Amino acid sequence: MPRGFAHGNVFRKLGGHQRRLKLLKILVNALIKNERIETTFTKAHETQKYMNRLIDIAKQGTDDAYTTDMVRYWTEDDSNKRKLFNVLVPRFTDHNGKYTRIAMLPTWHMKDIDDYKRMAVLELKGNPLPPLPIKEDNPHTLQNVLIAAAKSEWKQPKNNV
Amino acid sequence: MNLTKNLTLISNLIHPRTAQKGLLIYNEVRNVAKLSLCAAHRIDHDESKSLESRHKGETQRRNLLFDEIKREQLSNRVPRIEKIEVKYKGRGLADDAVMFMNRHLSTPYHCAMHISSSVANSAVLAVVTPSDAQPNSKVTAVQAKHDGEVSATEAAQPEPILWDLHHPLQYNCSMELLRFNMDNKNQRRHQEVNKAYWRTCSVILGAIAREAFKENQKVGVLKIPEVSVENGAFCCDLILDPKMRGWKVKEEDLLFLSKVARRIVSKNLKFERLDVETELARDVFKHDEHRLHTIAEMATQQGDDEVISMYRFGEHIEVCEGPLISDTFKIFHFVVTALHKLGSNTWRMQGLSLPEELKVQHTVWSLLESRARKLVKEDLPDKVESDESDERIKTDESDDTKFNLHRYDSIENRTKIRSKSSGQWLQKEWAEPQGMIDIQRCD
Repeated sequence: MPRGFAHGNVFRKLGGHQRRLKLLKILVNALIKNERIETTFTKAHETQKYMNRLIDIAKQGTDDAYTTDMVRYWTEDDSNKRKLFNVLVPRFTDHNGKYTRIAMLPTWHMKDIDDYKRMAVLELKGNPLPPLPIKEDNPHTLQNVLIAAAKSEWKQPKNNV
Repeated sequence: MNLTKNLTLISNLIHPRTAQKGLLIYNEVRNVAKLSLCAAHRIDHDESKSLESRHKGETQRRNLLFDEIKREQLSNRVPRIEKIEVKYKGRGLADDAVMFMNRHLSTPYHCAMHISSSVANSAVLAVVTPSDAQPNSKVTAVQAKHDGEVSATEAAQPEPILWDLHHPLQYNCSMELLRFNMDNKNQRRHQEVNKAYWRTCSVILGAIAREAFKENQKVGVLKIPEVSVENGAFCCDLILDPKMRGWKVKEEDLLFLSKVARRIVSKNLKFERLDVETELARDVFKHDEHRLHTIAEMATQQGDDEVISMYRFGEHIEVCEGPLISDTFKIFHFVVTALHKLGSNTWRMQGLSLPEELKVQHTVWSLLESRARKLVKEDLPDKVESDESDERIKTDESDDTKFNLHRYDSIENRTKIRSKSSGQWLQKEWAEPQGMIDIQRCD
């Protein structure tokens, strides 16, 4: 996570406005095309937001002027546009917001400058590729059962009072 | 000893390839033999330590009887050592193993020790499926009577049984070990483990009630109800002295009780299981009416079997059906959260606990703890709810003041000890209780 997150600075700069948008466009298109990409964690975490937002917009339908505008801007090819409307939107009709998933990879040592970068994998959910070994939360353990029960009780309307 | 003679014979027969495994088994058996020899000495030693215990003669008698029954069973069952085949089913193919263990002597814990110490220490329960159609497994026999063709397939796959970790194995079987945190697909296994944990905690509550009150107060454990985990608290029904009718439970009392709980838990007691006939069980609990009542209930439920399971941890012996976890070493959080009045003399003690593997952050803990203070009404009839008007007033008051998590100081937080130099919480040390709860003070 970047240091600015705690101070309300949500976005990474990635080398200026123009360069940032160019980079994000490339990554979003690559993700739509391949369904799983491997980049540094910062780029993956940044594109995740834009991908989720783009699918949310595309879900509104092709009739809207705003959606057509945005989709035309963010997709390079016609094939990507078609895939977005014909494959991804029907896939995520029941989902709510979280369409992508990030898994961490081992850090990459660049020997020439003696620096490290944290690598990650970004993927769309429900893709046909073989699954990643991601450790998911276990809802059946004792403490999680207790917390879930407390949550459901808290959400219920209070009839007694 | 007969055992040692047999052992020498066996050690001659062992093939050099399996010499290492054989040595392990030999050591194990020798330890068991030593235990049975030293049992009588050990009791005297234990008893000299605990001068504070109430009804000292009674507990001593029970423990001696327990040991005697255990020794008798061992001598009847193990005239000479027989081998059984245990197939261990691990997480992957590489973990699977086949072991030759001793009948009526070696436990699932011993099997796990052969694999690795980490497997043995993280295991909570064992699931045992008998590999052959056993004469004493009645389920398959009954099915065979009902329908002819289906029975053949069902007899080939007998039902898995939940087995205590320190309970000796009795037949050829395949074994699986359960932990608190497993693969998230098998929900049913998790439920079984959680149930066993909840049950052990409520058994420990009964032990607390026996230790905490002073000698002149008559305290009896009425029953140990099984409630589901979703209620947020485990409970234990007590019968207190009629003098204590007007006792209003304060925060200090709860704090004291949870300190007593800490004292019991930190001893790292093992849960020993013993299956006995009903008459013997009645003999052990001669002077305890409520235990006799529960024994009669269990006997009617089981019907033909007439086998009742008793558990011992430390000095405390309890009649309890179903499996418990292996020892109290696995418990991390333990707190007594409430003492509610049900009837005229009956009280309900509630608590909350979590194992070491699943410990939680302190704010989450205080949230769970505040929820565990409410009365668990799952197994109670509706009439009881109308009786306790005092409880309702209390809960309403707490609602009016608006529960604030930031200001709430949890019971566990007050039993913690922090280091003087750094202010860090010392996780292994807890505050110790002083004195006992007295009637005169309570009135």
